[in-house]
Amino acid sequence: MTRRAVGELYDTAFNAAVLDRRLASIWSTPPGLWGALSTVDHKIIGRRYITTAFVFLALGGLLSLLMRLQLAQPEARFIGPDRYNQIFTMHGTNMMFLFAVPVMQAMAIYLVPLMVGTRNIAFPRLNAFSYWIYLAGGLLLWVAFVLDTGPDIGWFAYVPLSGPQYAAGKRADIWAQMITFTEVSALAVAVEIVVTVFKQRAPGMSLDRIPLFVWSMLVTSFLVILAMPAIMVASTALILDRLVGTHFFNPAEGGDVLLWQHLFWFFGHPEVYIVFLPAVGMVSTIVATFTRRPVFGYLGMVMALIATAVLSFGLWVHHMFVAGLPRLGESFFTASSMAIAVPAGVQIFCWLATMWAGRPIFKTPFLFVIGFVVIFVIGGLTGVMVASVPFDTQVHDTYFVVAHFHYVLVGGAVFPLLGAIYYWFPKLTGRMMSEPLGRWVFGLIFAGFNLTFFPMHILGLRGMPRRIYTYQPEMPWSGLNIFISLSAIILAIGFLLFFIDAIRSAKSGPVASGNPWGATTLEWATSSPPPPYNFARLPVVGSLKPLTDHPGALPVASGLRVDRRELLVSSVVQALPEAREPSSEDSIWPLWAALATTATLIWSIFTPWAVVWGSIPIAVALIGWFWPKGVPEDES
Amino acid sequence: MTNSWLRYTGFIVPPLAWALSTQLGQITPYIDCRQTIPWTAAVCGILLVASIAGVAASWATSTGLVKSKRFVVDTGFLIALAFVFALSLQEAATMLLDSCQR
Repeated sequence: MTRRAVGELYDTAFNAAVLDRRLASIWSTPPGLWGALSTVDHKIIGRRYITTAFVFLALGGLLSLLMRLQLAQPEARFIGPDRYNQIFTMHGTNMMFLFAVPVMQAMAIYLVPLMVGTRNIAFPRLNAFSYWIYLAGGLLLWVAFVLDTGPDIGWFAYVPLSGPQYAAGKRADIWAQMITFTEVSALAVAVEIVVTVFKQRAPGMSLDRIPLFVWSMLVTSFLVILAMPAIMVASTALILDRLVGTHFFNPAEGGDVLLWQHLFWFFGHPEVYIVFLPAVGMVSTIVATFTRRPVFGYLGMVMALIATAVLSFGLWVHHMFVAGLPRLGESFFTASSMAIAVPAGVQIFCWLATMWAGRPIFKTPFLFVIGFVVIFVIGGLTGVMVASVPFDTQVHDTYFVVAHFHYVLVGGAVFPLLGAIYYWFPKLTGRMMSEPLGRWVFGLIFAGFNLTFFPMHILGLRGMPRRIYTYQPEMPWSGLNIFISLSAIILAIGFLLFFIDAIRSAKSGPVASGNPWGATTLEWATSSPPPPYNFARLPVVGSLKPLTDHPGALPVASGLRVDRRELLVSSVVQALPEAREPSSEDSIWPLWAALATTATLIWSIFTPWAVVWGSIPIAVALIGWFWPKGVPEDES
Repeated sequence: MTNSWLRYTGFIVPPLAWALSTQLGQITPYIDCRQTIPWTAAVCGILLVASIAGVAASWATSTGLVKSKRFVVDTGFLIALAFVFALSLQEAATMLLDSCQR
């Protein structure tokens, strides 16, 4: 450590009570509207992200109920074809871009700094900016939908359907620009998480002692960083084709329509794993806690996370098996699609082995994990089926594929997420959710989901295509469709109960004890909800389960200043302390920067000059944001 | 110095070989079809052998490391096996399919 200057205050000079007071005065968010708008506390921003994402989940769910109402009987006139196109596009776009990815990153924003034992996420102002941009993108999409300008081109917006020739008006532009909002937001969060995990871990938390949820978010963040630029490039090229008159996707002028599919699915398939891998971390955490033993095969789990992530970049052509590519080239993607079942299988077997060797306690979070294993395995099996070119050619664009990806995405992500909400709810709010109600929620969602989506496999095999707004009575689909629509009500009631339970418990649920589940990871080493500074003194980690090793008080590191926001920077592999670094103060500039960016991006739907003139307020906001502080950045 | 690099070949060589093979698998079938020379199978086979060599080098040079570094090398070794498996499947595909088939 550097020599201490006169006037600087360090934590070594204070007892626990005084230290808490001093840290609270330094790290707290000021009360009132200004404080709320300028906060950079990862916990406040994480809670906002989670709440917003669940609002979008509810809205997307309502859209799916509208679709089920329309499809419940043949030749229904409840929704017209144009509105139906908007609804299914909004449902997919909303669920993938406004719910699934953001909610997983939101959980990481809240939990990763606590789990690695630091006081705030890296780049806290970027974190605040990312939330405002995400919110703006979501509002853009939904306001457009309310104004009958919602995108109607499917969540993947294939050209030429989304190009200037077939998509007049601004609907496709809204979709393309919403992509920019959400991907900027996701990329920002990914960078924050990578830096937090690599450089802000508590002393002693070497790579082999990182909790599996943190590993999963680290790997997911790399996936985001590598995959999302592809869709941003694609959507920007689409806007250029539509607004400026370029010909990226126009074959008549030397462009290529298949280029869109390649770019989209180069992002789109890793996207599945961007949603699934965080769930792997959640499941691993819940399984370890509720079986009272560490997850079997930690090394194998880390290997599976990384191997899945890398392999996910070699699967995208299996979405294009009917596009007319050479069969030999396609077979390489079949091979990779089959190979990715190996790390997925390793994960499943590790969890099963952990349950087998442990003493399972069947609380609500664990029930969701069991539901996840059942549903995800079914989704994985149909995944191997559609990875085969001949089978995929038969069921392409049918309800079989709808059933498959709902099994993978809802089973692989939503079930673990709901389990994670029940598990970490006491950490977020200091209160417990209802256990009896939680069992009802699980039962209704599990039964409702399977009754809704399993028959879709049969519908697909009977030839019912996706994205049709109605069908004729002579087709053999009516019986199953009414059954599916009625089952969807059960699923909806399950989610409604979940929301009621969450809102009611946040207000008046039983107060949670310090570590209500007997967990072993660091987030439970501080109070619930945590104080603004997370840890009064940073914990020192000696194993994968620090709370079991030191059930009383954890060993702690000291020597951080308490007269400014300060973090400990540690080495990448062994997490040895390297430097003390200041952490950002609250600032309103991320909000101004987000507003300026929002205005520019929306304006640019109408004229390319918006990029030129809009850059001025963005530059002003960034100058305010990065105005020199006049203090040393770090002290080794 | 040489050993420290070789340790991480399990981490690096098989994933890179697989990525290269996957990309070339989109290009070489057109050439195979025109020239009736099985370039796809040859390239995939060479990359498979390179991957296995990478795994072996990693395994042979990873003794005597501290636990956290050992963890990195072992993880790389396991990851490498997944990619060797993927490359084996790709190589098998080159033997089963006609490169001119669309």
